[in-house]
Amino acid sequence: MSEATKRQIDASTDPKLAEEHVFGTFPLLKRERSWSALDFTWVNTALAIATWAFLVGGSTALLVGFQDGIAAMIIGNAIGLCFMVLASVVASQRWGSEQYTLLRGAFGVVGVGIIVFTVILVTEMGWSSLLAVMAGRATSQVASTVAGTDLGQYGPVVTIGGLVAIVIAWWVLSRGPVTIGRFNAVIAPGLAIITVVMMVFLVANTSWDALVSASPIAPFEDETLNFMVAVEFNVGVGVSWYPVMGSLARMTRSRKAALWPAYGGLLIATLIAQTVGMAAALTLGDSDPTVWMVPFGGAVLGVAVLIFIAFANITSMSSIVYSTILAIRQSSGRALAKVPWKVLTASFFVVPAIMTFFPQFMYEQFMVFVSLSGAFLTAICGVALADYFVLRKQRVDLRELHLAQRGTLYAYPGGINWAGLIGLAVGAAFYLWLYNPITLETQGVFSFITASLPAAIVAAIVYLALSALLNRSRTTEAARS
Amino acid sequence: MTSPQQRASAATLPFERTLADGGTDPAVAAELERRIRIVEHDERDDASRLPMSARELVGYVGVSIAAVALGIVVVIL
Repeated sequence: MSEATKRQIDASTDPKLAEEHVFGTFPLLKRERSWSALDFTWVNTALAIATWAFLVGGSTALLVGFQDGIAAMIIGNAIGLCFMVLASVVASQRWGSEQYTLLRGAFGVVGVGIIVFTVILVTEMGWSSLLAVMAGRATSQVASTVAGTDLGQYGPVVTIGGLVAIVIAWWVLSRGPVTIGRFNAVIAPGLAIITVVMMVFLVANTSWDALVSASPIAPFEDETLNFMVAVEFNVGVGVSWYPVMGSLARMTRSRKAALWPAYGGLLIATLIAQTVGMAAALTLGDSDPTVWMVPFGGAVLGVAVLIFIAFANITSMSSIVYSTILAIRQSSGRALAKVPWKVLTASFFVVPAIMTFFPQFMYEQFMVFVSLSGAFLTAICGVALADYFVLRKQRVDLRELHLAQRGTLYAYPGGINWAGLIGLAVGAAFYLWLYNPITLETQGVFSFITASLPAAIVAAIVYLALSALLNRSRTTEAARS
Repeated sequence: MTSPQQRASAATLPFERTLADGGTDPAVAAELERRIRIVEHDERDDASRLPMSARELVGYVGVSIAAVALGIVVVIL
Protein backbone atom coordinates (compact mmCIF):
# COMPACT_ATOMS: atom_id res chain seq x y z
CA MET A 1 0.00 0.00 0.00
CA SER A 2 1.45 3.38 -0.97
CA GLU A 3 2.04 6.06 1.65
CA ALA A 4 -0.51 8.36 -0.07
CA THR A 5 -3.22 5.68 -0.06
CA LYS A 6 -2.49 4.83 3.57
CA ARG A 7 -2.86 8.51 4.52
CA GLN A 8 -6.10 8.77 2.59
CA ILE A 9 -7.57 5.85 4.54
CA ASP A 10 -6.27 7.30 7.80
CA ALA A 11 -7.93 10.62 6.97
CA SER A 12 -11.36 9.01 6.80
CA THR A 13 -11.00 6.84 9.90
CA ASP A 14 -8.80 8.77 12.33
CA PRO A 15 -11.14 10.56 14.80
CA LYS A 16 -8.64 13.41 15.21
CA LEU A 17 -8.58 14.05 11.45
CA ALA A 18 -12.35 13.68 11.26
CA GLU A 19 -12.73 16.33 13.97
CA GLU A 20 -10.38 18.74 12.20
CA HIS A 21 -12.38 18.11 9.03
CA VAL A 22 -15.58 19.16 10.82
CA PHE A 23 -13.83 22.26 12.20
CA GLY A 24 -12.88 23.35 8.68
CA THR A 25 -9.12 23.10 9.14
CA PHE A 26 -8.50 21.31 5.85
CA PRO A 27 -8.97 22.75 2.36
CA LEU A 28 -11.72 20.74 0.67
CA LEU A 29 -10.85 18.61 -2.34
CA LYS A 30 -12.83 18.32 -5.54
CA ARG A 31 -14.54 15.05 -4.57
CA GLU A 32 -15.67 16.57 -1.25
CA ARG A 33 -17.24 19.66 -2.80
CA SER A 34 -20.67 18.25 -3.47
CA TRP A 35 -23.04 21.23 -3.62
CA SER A 36 -24.47 22.05 -7.05
CA ALA A 37 -25.85 25.49 -7.90
CA LEU A 38 -29.33 24.24 -6.95
CA ASP A 39 -28.13 22.86 -3.60
CA PHE A 40 -26.45 26.14 -2.73
CA THR A 41 -29.52 28.09 -3.85
CA TRP A 42 -31.62 26.15 -1.33
CA VAL A 43 -29.07 26.76 1.42
CA ASN A 44 -29.16 30.49 0.70
CA THR A 45 -32.95 30.50 0.43
CA ALA A 46 -33.20 28.82 3.85
CA LEU A 47 -31.04 31.57 5.32
CA ALA A 48 -32.64 34.47 3.46
CA ILE A 49 -36.29 33.58 4.15
CA ALA A 50 -35.62 33.29 7.86
CA THR A 51 -38.01 35.45 9.83
CA TRP A 52 -35.48 38.26 10.26
CA ALA A 53 -36.34 39.20 6.66
CA PHE A 54 -39.88 40.17 7.76
CA LEU A 55 -38.39 42.49 10.34
CA VAL A 56 -36.09 44.08 7.75
CA GLY A 57 -39.10 44.74 5.49
CA GLY A 58 -41.01 46.21 8.44
CA SER A 59 -38.10 48.46 9.40
CA THR A 60 -37.84 49.70 5.80
CA ALA A 61 -41.54 50.66 6.04
CA LEU A 62 -40.70 53.04 8.90
CA LEU A 63 -39.07 55.34 6.35
CA VAL A 64 -40.67 54.80 2.94
CA GLY A 65 -43.90 53.62 1.31
CA PHE A 66 -44.41 50.41 -0.66
CA GLN A 67 -43.01 51.41 -4.07
CA ASP A 68 -40.02 53.30 -2.72
CA GLY A 69 -39.49 50.49 -0.25
CA ILE A 70 -39.28 47.90 -3.02
CA ALA A 71 -36.78 50.13 -4.83
CA ALA A 72 -34.70 50.69 -1.67
CA MET A 73 -34.63 46.96 -0.96
CA ILE A 74 -33.55 46.10 -4.53
CA ILE A 75 -30.85 48.80 -4.68
CA GLY A 76 -29.57 48.23 -1.14
CA ASN A 77 -29.38 44.44 -1.33
CA ALA A 78 -27.92 44.53 -4.87
CA ILE A 79 -25.05 46.78 -3.73
CA GLY A 80 -24.42 45.07 -0.39
CA LEU A 81 -24.53 41.55 -1.80
CA CYS A 82 -22.32 42.52 -4.76
CA PHE A 83 -19.22 43.30 -2.73
CA MET A 84 -20.04 40.93 0.15
CA VAL A 85 -20.14 37.93 -2.23
CA LEU A 86 -16.94 39.00 -4.01
CA ALA A 87 -15.16 39.43 -0.68
CA SER A 88 -16.23 36.13 0.90
CA VAL A 89 -17.33 33.61 -1.72
CA VAL A 90 -14.76 33.83 -4.54
CA ALA A 91 -11.58 32.97 -2.62
CA SER A 92 -13.19 30.38 -0.34
CA GLN A 93 -14.74 28.60 -3.31
CA ARG A 94 -11.50 28.54 -5.28
CA TRP A 95 -9.22 27.28 -2.50
CA GLY A 96 -11.80 25.24 -0.56
CA SER A 97 -10.69 26.99 2.62
CA GLU A 98 -12.88 28.80 5.11
CA GLN A 99 -12.72 32.56 4.77
CA TYR A 100 -11.02 33.47 8.06
CA THR A 101 -7.91 31.44 7.19
CA LEU A 102 -7.78 33.30 3.86
CA LEU A 103 -7.93 36.66 5.69
CA ARG A 104 -4.58 36.07 7.41
CA GLY A 105 -2.71 37.89 4.65
CA ALA A 106 -4.84 41.01 5.05
CA PHE A 107 -4.97 41.20 8.85
CA GLY A 108 -2.37 38.76 10.21
CA VAL A 109 -3.33 35.72 12.28
CA VAL A 110 -3.80 37.74 15.50
CA GLY A 111 -5.58 40.48 13.56
CA VAL A 112 -8.10 37.95 12.24
CA GLY A 113 -8.59 36.73 15.82
CA ILE A 114 -9.31 40.31 16.95
CA ILE A 115 -11.90 40.73 14.19
CA VAL A 116 -13.55 37.38 14.85
CA PHE A 117 -13.74 37.91 18.62
CA THR A 118 -15.15 41.44 18.25
CA VAL A 119 -17.02 42.32 15.03
CA ILE A 120 -18.01 38.80 13.94
CA LEU A 121 -18.88 37.49 17.40
CA VAL A 122 -20.95 40.53 18.39
CA THR A 123 -22.74 40.55 15.01
CA GLU A 124 -23.66 36.88 15.13
CA MET A 125 -24.64 37.03 18.81
CA GLY A 126 -26.93 39.92 17.92
CA TRP A 127 -28.61 38.00 15.09
CA SER A 128 -28.93 34.89 17.29
CA SER A 129 -30.51 36.95 20.08
CA LEU A 130 -33.00 38.38 17.62
CA LEU A 131 -33.92 34.95 16.26
CA ALA A 132 -34.37 33.61 19.80
CA VAL A 133 -36.67 36.52 20.67
CA MET A 134 -38.66 35.97 17.45
CA ALA A 135 -39.04 32.27 18.30
CA GLY A 136 -40.13 33.36 21.80
CA ARG A 137 -42.71 35.74 20.35
CA ALA A 138 -44.11 32.97 18.16
CA THR A 139 -44.29 30.72 21.24
CA SER A 140 -46.05 33.44 23.23
CA GLN A 141 -48.60 33.97 20.46
CA VAL A 142 -49.31 30.23 20.24
CA ALA A 143 -49.71 30.05 24.03
CA SER A 144 -52.03 33.09 23.95
CA THR A 145 -54.22 31.43 21.33
CA VAL A 146 -54.38 28.11 23.18
CA ALA A 147 -55.00 29.75 26.59
CA GLY A 148 -57.42 32.31 25.18
CA THR A 149 -55.64 35.21 26.86
CA ASP A 150 -53.15 37.89 25.81
CA LEU A 151 -49.69 37.04 27.14
CA GLY A 152 -48.12 40.14 25.56
CA GLN A 153 -45.54 40.69 22.83
CA TYR A 154 -42.68 41.17 25.28
CA GLY A 155 -43.96 39.19 28.29
CA PRO A 156 -42.21 36.45 30.27
CA VAL A 157 -43.45 33.74 27.89
CA VAL A 158 -41.35 35.37 25.14
CA THR A 159 -38.27 34.96 27.32
CA ILE A 160 -39.15 31.36 28.20
CA GLY A 161 -39.83 30.55 24.53
CA GLY A 162 -36.55 32.23 23.53
CA LEU A 163 -34.59 30.24 26.08
CA VAL A 164 -36.20 26.96 24.96
CA ALA A 165 -35.36 27.88 21.34
CA ILE A 166 -31.71 28.42 22.34
CA VAL A 167 -31.55 25.04 24.08
CA ILE A 168 -33.00 23.28 21.01
CA ALA A 169 -30.62 25.21 18.69
CA TRP A 170 -27.72 24.12 20.87
CA TRP A 171 -28.93 20.50 20.68
CA VAL A 172 -29.16 20.68 16.87
CA LEU A 173 -25.69 22.25 16.72
CA SER A 174 -24.21 19.63 19.00
CA ARG A 175 -25.34 16.97 16.51
CA GLY A 176 -23.11 18.54 13.84
CA PRO A 177 -23.52 19.99 10.34
CA VAL A 178 -25.29 16.94 8.89
CA THR A 179 -28.26 17.41 11.24
CA ILE A 180 -28.35 21.14 10.45
CA GLY A 181 -28.41 20.30 6.73
CA ARG A 182 -31.28 17.83 7.19
CA PHE A 183 -33.39 20.38 9.05
CA ASN A 184 -32.66 23.06 6.44
CA ALA A 185 -33.76 20.74 3.62
CA VAL A 186 -37.25 20.68 5.18
CA ILE A 187 -37.39 24.21 6.52
CA ALA A 188 -36.34 26.07 3.34
CA PRO A 189 -39.12 24.88 1.01
CA GLY A 190 -41.62 25.10 3.90
CA LEU A 191 -40.72 28.71 4.60
CA ALA A 192 -40.95 29.57 0.90
CA ILE A 193 -44.52 28.17 0.80
CA ILE A 194 -45.49 29.87 4.06
CA THR A 195 -44.16 33.22 2.82
CA VAL A 196 -46.41 32.99 -0.25
CA VAL A 197 -49.36 31.95 1.98
CA MET A 198 -48.76 34.95 4.23
CA MET A 199 -48.68 37.32 1.24
CA VAL A 200 -52.02 35.86 0.06
CA PHE A 201 -53.51 36.35 3.53
CA LEU A 202 -52.25 39.90 3.63
CA VAL A 203 -53.66 40.92 0.27
CA ALA A 204 -56.95 39.06 0.96
CA ASN A 205 -57.41 40.79 4.31
CA THR A 206 -56.41 44.27 3.19
CA SER A 207 -56.32 45.60 -0.38
CA TRP A 208 -53.74 46.32 -3.05
CA ASP A 209 -54.78 49.99 -3.18
CA ALA A 210 -54.36 50.35 0.58
CA LEU A 211 -50.90 48.79 0.29
CA VAL A 212 -49.65 51.01 -2.53
CA SER A 213 -51.05 54.21 -1.04
CA ALA A 214 -49.95 53.52 2.55
CA SER A 215 -47.69 56.15 4.11
CA PRO A 216 -44.40 55.27 5.80
CA ILE A 217 -44.78 54.67 9.54
CA ALA A 218 -42.20 57.03 11.09
CA PRO A 219 -40.31 58.97 8.40
CA PHE A 220 -37.97 61.98 8.69
CA GLU A 221 -39.07 65.26 7.09
CA ASP A 222 -36.59 64.94 4.22
CA GLU A 223 -37.94 62.42 1.66
CA THR A 224 -34.58 61.95 -0.05
CA LEU A 225 -32.95 61.23 3.29
CA ASN A 226 -35.69 58.70 4.11
CA PHE A 227 -35.03 56.85 0.88
CA MET A 228 -31.24 56.87 1.25
CA VAL A 229 -31.38 55.68 4.88
CA ALA A 230 -33.67 52.86 3.69
CA VAL A 231 -31.18 52.00 0.93
CA GLU A 232 -28.28 52.11 3.39
CA PHE A 233 -30.13 49.89 5.85
CA ASN A 234 -30.66 47.30 3.11
CA VAL A 235 -27.01 47.53 2.03
CA GLY A 236 -26.20 46.65 5.65
CA VAL A 237 -28.56 43.68 5.45
CA GLY A 238 -26.83 42.44 2.27
CA VAL A 239 -23.39 42.79 3.86
CA SER A 240 -24.56 41.06 7.05
CA TRP A 241 -24.21 37.67 5.33
CA TYR A 242 -20.44 38.10 5.22
CA PRO A 243 -19.57 36.13 8.40
CA VAL A 244 -21.08 32.87 7.09
CA MET A 245 -20.87 32.89 3.28
CA GLY A 246 -17.24 31.83 2.78
CA SER A 247 -17.60 28.78 5.00
CA LEU A 248 -20.62 27.71 2.97
CA ALA A 249 -19.24 28.51 -0.50
CA ARG A 250 -16.24 26.19 -0.07
CA MET A 251 -18.70 23.28 -0.33
CA THR A 252 -19.69 24.16 -3.93
CA ARG A 253 -18.42 22.36 -7.04
CA SER A 254 -17.59 25.38 -9.17
CA ARG A 255 -17.42 29.15 -9.12
CA LYS A 256 -20.69 29.38 -11.04
CA ALA A 257 -22.33 27.13 -8.44
CA ALA A 258 -21.08 29.47 -5.73
CA LEU A 259 -21.25 33.00 -7.14
CA TRP A 260 -24.69 33.19 -8.72
CA PRO A 261 -26.67 31.22 -6.11
CA ALA A 262 -25.03 33.33 -3.40
CA TYR A 263 -25.91 36.59 -5.14
CA GLY A 264 -29.17 35.70 -6.89
CA GLY A 265 -30.45 33.29 -4.25
CA LEU A 266 -29.97 35.73 -1.40
CA LEU A 267 -31.21 38.71 -3.44
CA ILE A 268 -34.45 37.16 -4.71
CA ALA A 269 -35.35 35.20 -1.57
CA THR A 270 -34.60 38.18 0.66
CA LEU A 271 -36.68 40.53 -1.50
CA ILE A 272 -39.71 38.21 -1.40
CA ALA A 273 -39.67 37.81 2.39
CA GLN A 274 -38.86 41.49 3.00
CA THR A 275 -41.74 42.54 0.75
CA VAL A 276 -44.16 40.49 2.88
CA GLY A 277 -42.80 42.10 6.05
CA MET A 278 -43.03 45.59 4.55
CA ALA A 279 -46.56 45.02 3.23
CA ALA A 280 -47.68 43.81 6.67
CA ALA A 281 -46.07 46.76 8.42
CA LEU A 282 -47.63 49.31 6.03
CA THR A 283 -51.17 47.88 6.16
CA LEU A 284 -51.33 46.38 9.67
CA GLY A 285 -48.74 48.42 11.53
CA ASP A 286 -46.62 45.38 12.43
CA SER A 287 -44.16 43.42 10.26
CA ASP A 288 -43.89 40.48 12.62
CA PRO A 289 -46.06 37.57 11.40
CA THR A 290 -46.25 36.29 14.97
CA VAL A 291 -48.60 39.21 15.68
CA TRP A 292 -51.02 39.00 12.76
CA MET A 293 -50.92 35.39 11.59
CA VAL A 294 -53.46 34.02 14.12
CA PRO A 295 -56.07 36.79 13.63
CA PHE A 296 -55.85 36.35 9.83
CA GLY A 297 -55.20 32.63 9.46
CA GLY A 298 -57.47 31.43 12.23
CA ALA A 299 -56.43 29.49 15.31
CA VAL A 300 -55.46 26.20 13.64
CA LEU A 301 -53.62 27.49 10.56
CA GLY A 302 -52.19 30.45 12.47
CA VAL A 303 -50.80 28.30 15.26
CA ALA A 304 -49.39 25.76 12.75
CA VAL A 305 -47.60 28.54 10.87
CA LEU A 306 -46.26 30.07 14.09
CA ILE A 307 -44.88 26.74 15.29
CA PHE A 308 -43.15 26.38 11.92
CA ILE A 309 -41.77 29.93 12.17
CA ALA A 310 -40.46 29.26 15.67
CA PHE A 311 -38.75 26.12 14.40
CA ALA A 312 -37.36 27.95 11.35
CA ASN A 313 -35.74 30.50 13.68
CA ILE A 314 -34.08 27.67 15.56
CA THR A 315 -32.54 26.15 12.41
CA SER A 316 -31.41 29.59 11.19
CA MET A 317 -29.76 30.13 14.54
CA SER A 318 -27.98 26.76 14.29
CA SER A 319 -26.70 27.57 10.78
CA ILE A 320 -25.17 30.95 11.60
CA VAL A 321 -23.77 29.83 14.95
CA TYR A 322 -22.12 26.80 13.29
CA SER A 323 -20.15 29.04 10.90
CA THR A 324 -19.28 31.44 13.71
CA ILE A 325 -17.98 28.68 15.97
CA LEU A 326 -15.81 27.42 13.10
CA ALA A 327 -14.37 30.93 12.78
CA ILE A 328 -13.76 31.17 16.52
CA ARG A 329 -12.11 27.76 16.61
CA GLN A 330 -9.86 28.57 13.63
CA SER A 331 -8.95 32.03 14.94
CA SER A 332 -8.14 31.04 18.49
CA GLY A 333 -5.07 29.01 17.55
CA ARG A 334 -4.51 26.32 20.16
CA ALA A 335 -6.35 28.23 22.90
CA LEU A 336 -9.73 26.61 22.21
CA ALA A 337 -8.48 23.47 20.46
CA LYS A 338 -9.08 21.31 23.52
CA VAL A 339 -12.51 22.76 24.35
CA PRO A 340 -15.23 20.25 23.43
CA TRP A 341 -17.59 21.27 20.63
CA LYS A 342 -20.65 21.15 22.92
CA VAL A 343 -19.02 23.43 25.49
CA LEU A 344 -17.90 25.88 22.80
CA THR A 345 -21.37 26.11 21.28
CA ALA A 346 -23.00 26.41 24.73
CA SER A 347 -20.64 29.29 25.60
CA PHE A 348 -21.70 31.17 22.49
CA PHE A 349 -25.35 31.09 23.57
CA VAL A 350 -24.77 32.74 26.97
CA VAL A 351 -25.17 36.31 25.67
CA PRO A 352 -28.19 35.54 23.41
CA ALA A 353 -29.78 33.81 26.44
CA ILE A 354 -29.30 36.97 28.52
CA MET A 355 -30.71 39.11 25.70
CA THR A 356 -33.98 37.12 25.67
CA PHE A 357 -34.75 38.90 28.96
CA PHE A 358 -34.78 42.18 27.00
CA PRO A 359 -36.92 41.33 23.95
CA GLN A 360 -38.23 44.87 23.44
CA PHE A 361 -34.70 46.28 23.37
CA MET A 362 -33.71 43.81 20.63
CA TYR A 363 -36.65 44.81 18.44
CA GLU A 364 -36.34 48.55 18.98
CA GLN A 365 -32.58 48.64 18.32
CA PHE A 366 -32.75 46.40 15.25
CA MET A 367 -31.97 49.10 12.65
CA VAL A 368 -29.13 50.50 14.75
CA PHE A 369 -27.66 47.03 15.18
CA VAL A 370 -27.78 46.21 11.45
CA SER A 371 -26.29 49.58 10.41
CA LEU A 372 -23.60 49.57 13.09
CA SER A 373 -22.43 46.03 12.31
CA GLY A 374 -22.66 46.96 8.61
CA ALA A 375 -20.16 49.80 9.18
CA PHE A 376 -17.49 47.31 10.26
CA LEU A 377 -18.44 44.46 7.90
CA THR A 378 -18.28 46.72 4.83
CA ALA A 379 -14.82 47.90 5.88
CA ILE A 380 -13.69 44.27 6.32
CA CYS A 381 -15.05 43.50 2.83
CA GLY A 382 -13.14 46.49 1.39
CA VAL A 383 -9.84 45.31 2.87
CA ALA A 384 -10.48 41.67 1.88
CA LEU A 385 -11.26 42.67 -1.73
CA ALA A 386 -8.18 44.90 -2.01
CA ASP A 387 -5.98 42.18 -0.54
CA TYR A 388 -7.21 39.27 -2.67
CA PHE A 389 -7.91 40.93 -6.03
CA VAL A 390 -5.46 43.85 -6.12
CA LEU A 391 -2.51 43.12 -3.85
CA ARG A 392 -2.23 39.33 -4.28
CA LYS A 393 -3.89 39.14 -7.70
CA GLN A 394 -5.91 36.08 -6.55
CA ARG A 395 -2.78 34.11 -5.63
CA VAL A 396 -2.40 32.73 -2.13
CA ASP A 397 -0.03 30.19 -0.65
CA LEU A 398 -2.02 27.64 1.37
CA ARG A 399 1.02 26.33 3.25
CA GLU A 400 2.03 29.83 4.32
CA LEU A 401 -1.56 30.60 5.38
CA HIS A 402 -1.50 27.60 7.72
CA LEU A 403 2.01 28.37 8.94
CA ALA A 404 0.94 31.97 9.68
CA GLN A 405 3.48 33.34 12.22
CA ARG A 406 5.77 30.35 11.69
CA GLY A 407 6.04 31.08 7.98
CA THR A 408 7.26 34.14 6.10
CA LEU A 409 4.55 35.41 3.71
CA TYR A 410 1.77 36.10 6.22
CA ALA A 411 3.84 36.56 9.38
CA TYR A 412 3.60 40.06 10.85
CA PRO A 413 5.07 41.62 14.00
CA GLY A 414 2.80 40.50 16.84
CA GLY A 415 0.65 38.66 14.29
CA ILE A 416 -1.06 41.87 13.21
CA ASN A 417 -0.99 43.43 9.75
CA TRP A 418 -1.60 47.02 10.78
CA ALA A 419 -2.37 48.00 7.20
CA GLY A 420 -5.49 45.81 7.37
CA LEU A 421 -6.65 46.80 10.83
CA ILE A 422 -6.08 50.53 10.23
CA GLY A 423 -7.87 50.22 6.86
CA LEU A 424 -10.79 48.60 8.66
CA ALA A 425 -10.86 51.26 11.38
CA VAL A 426 -10.68 54.17 8.90
CA GLY A 427 -13.37 52.61 6.68
CA ALA A 428 -15.72 52.09 9.63
CA ALA A 429 -15.01 55.62 10.96
CA PHE A 430 -15.74 57.07 7.51
CA TYR A 431 -19.06 55.19 7.45
CA LEU A 432 -20.01 56.53 10.90
CA TRP A 433 -19.00 60.06 9.84
CA LEU A 434 -21.24 59.84 6.76
CA TYR A 435 -24.11 58.27 8.67
CA ASN A 436 -24.28 57.74 12.41
CA PRO A 437 -27.04 55.16 13.01
CA ILE A 438 -27.20 55.97 16.73
CA THR A 439 -27.64 59.75 16.55
CA LEU A 440 -29.06 59.58 12.98
CA GLU A 441 -26.75 62.46 11.98
CA THR A 442 -25.76 62.43 8.31
CA GLN A 443 -23.42 64.42 6.07
CA GLY A 444 -24.96 66.12 3.05
CA VAL A 445 -23.12 63.82 0.65
CA PHE A 446 -24.79 60.77 2.25
CA SER A 447 -27.96 61.53 0.29
CA PHE A 448 -26.03 60.88 -2.94
CA ILE A 449 -23.52 58.14 -2.14
CA THR A 450 -24.90 56.46 1.06
CA ALA A 451 -22.25 55.11 3.44
CA SER A 452 -21.41 51.41 2.92
CA LEU A 453 -19.92 51.44 -0.57
CA PRO A 454 -17.80 54.57 0.04
CA ALA A 455 -16.64 53.10 3.37
CA ALA A 456 -15.56 49.87 1.64
CA ILE A 457 -13.68 51.87 -1.01
CA VAL A 458 -11.94 54.04 1.62
CA ALA A 459 -10.96 50.93 3.62
CA ALA A 460 -9.52 49.36 0.44
CA ILE A 461 -7.54 52.49 -0.52
CA VAL A 462 -6.13 52.94 3.00
CA TYR A 463 -5.17 49.25 3.09
CA LEU A 464 -3.36 49.41 -0.26
CA ALA A 465 -1.61 52.68 0.63
CA LEU A 466 -0.45 51.42 4.03
CA SER A 467 0.63 48.10 2.51
CA ALA A 468 2.83 50.01 0.08
CA LEU A 469 4.22 52.04 2.99
CA LEU A 470 4.54 49.48 5.80
CA ASN A 471 5.01 46.25 3.88
CA ARG A 472 6.95 47.47 0.85
CA SER A 473 9.85 45.09 1.50
CA ARG A 474 7.54 42.07 1.67
CA THR A 475 6.79 39.77 -1.24
CA THR A 476 3.25 38.60 -1.91
CA GLU A 477 4.33 35.19 -3.19
CA ALA A 478 6.51 32.43 -1.77
CA ALA A 479 9.75 31.81 -3.66
CA ARG A 480 8.79 28.22 -4.53
CA SER A 481 5.54 29.22 -6.26
CA MET B 1 19.14 19.51 -11.48
CA THR B 2 16.06 18.73 -9.34
CA SER B 3 12.60 18.07 -10.77
CA PRO B 4 9.51 20.14 -9.74
CA GLN B 5 8.24 17.13 -7.73
CA GLN B 6 11.53 16.85 -5.88
CA ARG B 7 11.51 20.56 -5.16
CA ALA B 8 7.90 20.32 -3.92
CA SER B 9 8.79 17.38 -1.66
CA ALA B 10 11.76 19.26 -0.28
CA ALA B 11 9.53 22.22 0.49
CA THR B 12 6.80 20.15 2.16
CA LEU B 13 8.97 18.42 4.74
CA PRO B 14 9.77 21.68 6.58
CA PHE B 15 6.06 22.56 6.38
CA GLU B 16 4.93 19.44 8.23
CA ARG B 17 7.81 19.67 10.67
CA THR B 18 7.21 23.35 11.38
CA LEU B 19 3.52 22.75 12.04
CA ALA B 20 4.29 19.77 14.28
CA ASP B 21 6.94 21.79 16.15
CA GLY B 22 4.32 24.45 16.72
CA GLY B 23 2.00 21.97 18.44
CA THR B 24 -0.09 20.71 15.53
CA ASP B 25 -0.81 16.99 15.63
CA PRO B 26 1.64 15.36 13.15
CA ALA B 27 -1.24 13.43 11.54
CA VAL B 28 -3.13 16.70 11.00
CA ALA B 29 -0.01 18.35 9.54
CA ALA B 30 0.50 15.41 7.18
CA GLU B 31 -3.14 15.48 6.07
CA LEU B 32 -2.93 19.23 5.51
CA GLU B 33 0.15 18.74 3.36
CA ARG B 34 -1.49 15.93 1.38
CA ARG B 35 -4.49 18.11 0.62
CA ILE B 36 -2.47 21.19 -0.31
CA ARG B 37 -0.43 19.10 -2.73
CA ILE B 38 -3.60 17.82 -4.39
CA VAL B 39 -4.99 21.36 -4.66
CA GLU B 40 -1.71 22.72 -6.04
CA HIS B 41 -0.90 19.88 -8.42
CA ASP B 42 -3.64 17.32 -9.21
CA GLU B 43 -6.50 19.87 -9.27
CA ARG B 44 -4.40 22.82 -10.41
CA ASP B 45 -6.05 23.10 -13.84
CA ASP B 46 -9.57 22.18 -12.74
CA ALA B 47 -12.05 24.94 -13.64
CA SER B 48 -13.05 25.33 -10.00
CA ARG B 49 -9.45 26.16 -9.02
CA LEU B 50 -8.79 28.81 -11.67
CA PRO B 51 -8.75 32.52 -10.80
CA MET B 52 -11.80 34.59 -11.59
CA SER B 53 -11.32 36.09 -15.04
CA ALA B 54 -11.79 39.77 -15.85
CA ARG B 55 -14.72 38.76 -18.06
CA GLU B 56 -16.46 36.97 -15.18
CA LEU B 57 -15.82 39.92 -12.91
CA VAL B 58 -17.21 42.42 -15.40
CA GLY B 59 -20.27 40.19 -15.98
CA TYR B 60 -20.92 39.88 -12.24
CA VAL B 61 -20.56 43.60 -11.53
CA GLY B 62 -22.65 44.32 -14.64
CA VAL B 63 -25.54 42.23 -13.31
CA SER B 64 -25.31 44.05 -9.97
CA ILE B 65 -25.42 47.43 -11.74
CA ALA B 66 -28.43 46.21 -13.75
CA ALA B 67 -30.19 45.28 -10.48
CA VAL B 68 -29.48 48.76 -9.09
CA ALA B 69 -30.78 50.30 -12.35
CA LEU B 70 -33.95 48.23 -11.95
CA GLY B 71 -34.41 49.70 -8.48
CA ILE B 72 -33.96 53.23 -9.87
CA VAL B 73 -36.58 52.50 -12.56
CA VAL B 74 -39.02 51.42 -9.79
CA VAL B 75 -38.45 54.78 -8.06
CA ILE B 76 -38.97 56.75 -11.28
CA LEU B 77 -42.16 54.86 -12.19
